[in-house]
Amino acid sequence: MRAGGFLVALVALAAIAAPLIAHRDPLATSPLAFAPPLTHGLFGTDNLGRDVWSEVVYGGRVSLVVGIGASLLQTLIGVVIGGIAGYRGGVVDLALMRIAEFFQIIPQFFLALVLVAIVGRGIDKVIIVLGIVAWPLTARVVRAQFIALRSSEFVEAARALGAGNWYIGYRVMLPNALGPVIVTATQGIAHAILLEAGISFFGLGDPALISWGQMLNNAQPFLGESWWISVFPGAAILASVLGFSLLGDGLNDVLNPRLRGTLRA
Amino acid sequence: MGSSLARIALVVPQLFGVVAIVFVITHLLPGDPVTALVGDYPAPPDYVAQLRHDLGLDQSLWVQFFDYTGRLLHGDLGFSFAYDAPVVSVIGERIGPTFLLAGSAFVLGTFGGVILGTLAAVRHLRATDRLVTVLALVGFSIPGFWLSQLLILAFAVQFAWLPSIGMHALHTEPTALGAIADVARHLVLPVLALSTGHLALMTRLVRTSMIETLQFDFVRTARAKGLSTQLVIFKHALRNALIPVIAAGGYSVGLLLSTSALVETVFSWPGMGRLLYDSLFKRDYPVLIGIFIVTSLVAIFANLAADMLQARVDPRSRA
Amino acid sequence: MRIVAVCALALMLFAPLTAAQGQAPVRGGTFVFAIGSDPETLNPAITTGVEALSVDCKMFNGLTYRDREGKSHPELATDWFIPPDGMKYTFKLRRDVRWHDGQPFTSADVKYTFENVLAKFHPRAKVAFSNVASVETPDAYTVIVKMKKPYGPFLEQMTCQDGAILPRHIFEGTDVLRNPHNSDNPIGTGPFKFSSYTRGDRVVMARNPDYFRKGLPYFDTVIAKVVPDAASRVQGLDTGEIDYVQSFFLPKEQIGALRANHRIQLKYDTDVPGNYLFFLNDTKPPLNDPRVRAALLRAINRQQILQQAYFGVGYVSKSAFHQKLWAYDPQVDLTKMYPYDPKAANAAFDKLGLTRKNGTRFTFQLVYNVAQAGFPATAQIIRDDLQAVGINVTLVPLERNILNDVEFTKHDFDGAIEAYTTGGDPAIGIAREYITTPPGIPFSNPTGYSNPKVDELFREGALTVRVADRRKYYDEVQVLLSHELPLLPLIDRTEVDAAQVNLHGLWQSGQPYDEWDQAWRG
Repeated sequence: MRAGGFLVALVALAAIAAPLIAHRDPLATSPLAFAPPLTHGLFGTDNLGRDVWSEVVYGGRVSLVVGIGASLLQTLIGVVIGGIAGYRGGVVDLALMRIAEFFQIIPQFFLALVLVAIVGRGIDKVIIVLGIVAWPLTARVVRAQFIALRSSEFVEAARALGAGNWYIGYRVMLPNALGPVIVTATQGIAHAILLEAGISFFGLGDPALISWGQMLNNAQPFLGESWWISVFPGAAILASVLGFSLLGDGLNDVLNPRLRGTLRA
Repeated sequence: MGSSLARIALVVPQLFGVVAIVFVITHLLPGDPVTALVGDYPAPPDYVAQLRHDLGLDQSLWVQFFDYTGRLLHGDLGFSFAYDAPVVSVIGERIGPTFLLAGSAFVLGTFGGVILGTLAAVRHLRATDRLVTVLALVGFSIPGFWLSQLLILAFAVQFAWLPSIGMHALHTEPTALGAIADVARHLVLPVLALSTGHLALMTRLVRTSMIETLQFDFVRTARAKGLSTQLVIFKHALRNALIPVIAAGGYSVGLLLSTSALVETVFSWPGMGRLLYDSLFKRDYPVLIGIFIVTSLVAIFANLAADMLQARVDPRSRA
Repeated sequence: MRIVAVCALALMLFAPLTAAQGQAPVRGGTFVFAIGSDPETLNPAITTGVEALSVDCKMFNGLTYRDREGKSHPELATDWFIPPDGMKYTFKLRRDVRWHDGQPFTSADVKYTFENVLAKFHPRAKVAFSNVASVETPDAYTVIVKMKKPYGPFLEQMTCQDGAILPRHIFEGTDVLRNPHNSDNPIGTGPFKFSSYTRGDRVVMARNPDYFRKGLPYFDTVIAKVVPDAASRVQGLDTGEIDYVQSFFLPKEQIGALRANHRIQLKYDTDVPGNYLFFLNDTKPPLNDPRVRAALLRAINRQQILQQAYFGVGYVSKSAFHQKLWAYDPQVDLTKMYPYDPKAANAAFDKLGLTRKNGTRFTFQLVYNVAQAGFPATAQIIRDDLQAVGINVTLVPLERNILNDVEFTKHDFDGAIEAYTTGGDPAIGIAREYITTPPGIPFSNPTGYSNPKVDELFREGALTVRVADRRKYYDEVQVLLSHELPLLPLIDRTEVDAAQVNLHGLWQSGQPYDEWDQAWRG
């Protein structure tokens, strides 16, 4: 988990400190195209003479913003729906879980692509789409927790004291269910970063911003001449996703020792 | 069995759901649903008028919905003006290569995962285990399309050992065996790239499951009973591990199809994924929506198959 | 004695020359060229599709073909007479031509094709034929076309690309667009006859033994191979499986690699050229001032655009007219009038009163077709260049449909990148960029620029028939436009074909579709 934390911190720091460590505007073209790494800029330049190092660093901002944003949205939706399903049970539970299952079966990437293709590009839209596409997992986790907690002592006590359903849900059960939720949210960031990279790779990214997936798409015709346009952004994606995954796994070990093995995979 | 029928019956609302999503997408958007269904191409005005009439846009949404569903049931996924052919035939031509690729990756990933996961479980906490765990994690986190580019850089650019474009060489092979070998050569790199994620997932699952089972039974009973029982326990553990594998397998199909879209694009593999990329680029919405429907259907049925298989393997798993 | 010596010397000097030139063409073999997708039809008279024409024009002919200087030469027609007023075209036809099914070719075929096919269904020819009053055939080998008004480019459009001739006996009385010969067994007059067509794979054509040019073609077989993936076509060139890839199907980012390949020959300027243009909204201040537009031109590094967005294939534009077009006026050179000079641009803006407020002089919306090759890169470079002189640019990539509405109907833009073809003649492709145009017509003039003098010059240029006379009008309008700059011409496109180095006799025509009868491999 420490490794994960380290990677994440590295990526986050680079993204936040972008203007300090990357001096060139990532979108600025120049006549010096295809410069290999270390000849002109740390990572070289791409086909339009843009500085690859700057692109990677600023691209990190996009990935982090989308990853964290989508994960937050996914968590929000998942907590609400999963909470209701787990608490209520019965028909409501059945219906909601059928819907969740449905969203889990539909290939997420395709659904996201279709939505973005028709709704339009832009970083805000991508966050919303990714949040919508990924909520079922969180919902299931929350639901499982709520079902378990439904008959626990805290809840009995709260009911005995005359507390309303929302109060119980929000104040009593949720804090106890947070462990798995945090883990899922962290892993959700990794997942969202991968999805966003795929969407950008397919040309549906935000055209005003540089993102890692977009860089990989750009690199496609020039693989033979300039490996650096592909290798660096790809490694960045790997590092971020790996980092958040490890972080999630580590948090899992810490927060849910009982549940180890069931939440993973 | 009644439960099998029940499972099959559950698929119906899911199919319904897919159509509903497509319907909602095309109708709740700003603009004309006919435009979304026709795409960006200058379609002849009488086709557009016909479509408008067929969709009955002046009638209630429910009527429209049933009309649309009716068309789908007749296999009418619309017409693609970019390819000048019905969407069904455009997609139909591409399904074969995608299934070849995704299918090979699925088989490779599943079997490989079982083997590697077992290996890691047996050597739990030793060097092999750690190595496998790390590799699995990396394999799970690496974007498939980047891995594809890396493979091309290594094996096609740096060392021209393997082809990196398409499914066939340009000339037609004289013999059937030659043709098969040709496709096989082209299949190597894409399958490697595509199967990695699935392999990683399966490895993790099998490893986790086997570790749990092996820890208890193996340690306790093996010492008491002797070697042959070890084998039985082992088989039992493996059987247990299959449960999550099957469950994840159904889910994996969807994941594989998604990733194959990306991998196919990098390798110019003539499948549905490449078609998806091209139709997105050309703003050919009918094909885009058609691919979405087809892959969703495949995923739904894969899940159904996994469910039913699971019921047979482990009767107690009835969520 | 000395005479003999001189003759011997002459022979020795000239012999190598003739030997090289007269390296005897080798008869036989197969020629394979790659196209990107199935030809949309096997009938060249109803289409402008590149795949279709590159296949079909090997089986069909026009009355003429044009050489690389744009001059017309005999094909199905042996001769033509045009009086100075340009109101009548008299074509004399070859007498020894037979259709692939053995029927004789006569003026009736030409009349039929002109009136019932080209005038009705061919997107480009339709425009030409709208100027035609009547078509007469006084005898079997003479066609007289009478015009309603003179139309300068008419003769140029008599090639296979815009004026392929169909057999009357196959098409008369049928629904032309649905005739079965459009998708199978087309009957033409060309050097190659149809053999077979496998959808998604290839079209095979065999030598026409009764071809009207005796001794031609050299190749036994010609195959059009469908290769959807651009990179595969280049790979095919490399392995030798593909002999020729026309510019349209050649991914330009591979030009560098191809240049270095000794087994491949590259040929530039192989087709009727087009341009990349930067339209400006001339009705919106400050762009309504030609001096502002001129300053913008100075601010843009067009050489960088050429190198990075188009891989060096083409030329920086020197005039409103493409510099390889016959009508280009060499006196006009925008690269000398407005060289790339950001400092000068800055100074010009300052002098015009457009000073920087918080670093920005004014805002600028740049629209372009997101799906067109090279446009995103061009847009980004222009954006950078304009930002550097204090103009705040917003990039607006749009789908073609929406773009047409925004650009041509609503005029809701400051700058728009477009690619227009010249059509080989200013009257066909260039006039439309500059003449007064109402909103709502795609691929016309979206700038709102309206100059009666410009309109008049283009009009006269189209009505005149003699080249020397047309040049007068076109020279004048180019000079005028070089000062007005209603749009900024960016790059003069050129086409570059790739072929195996052992192929000869290619590129006889100035257009990529005709005159394949002289190709051979040696």
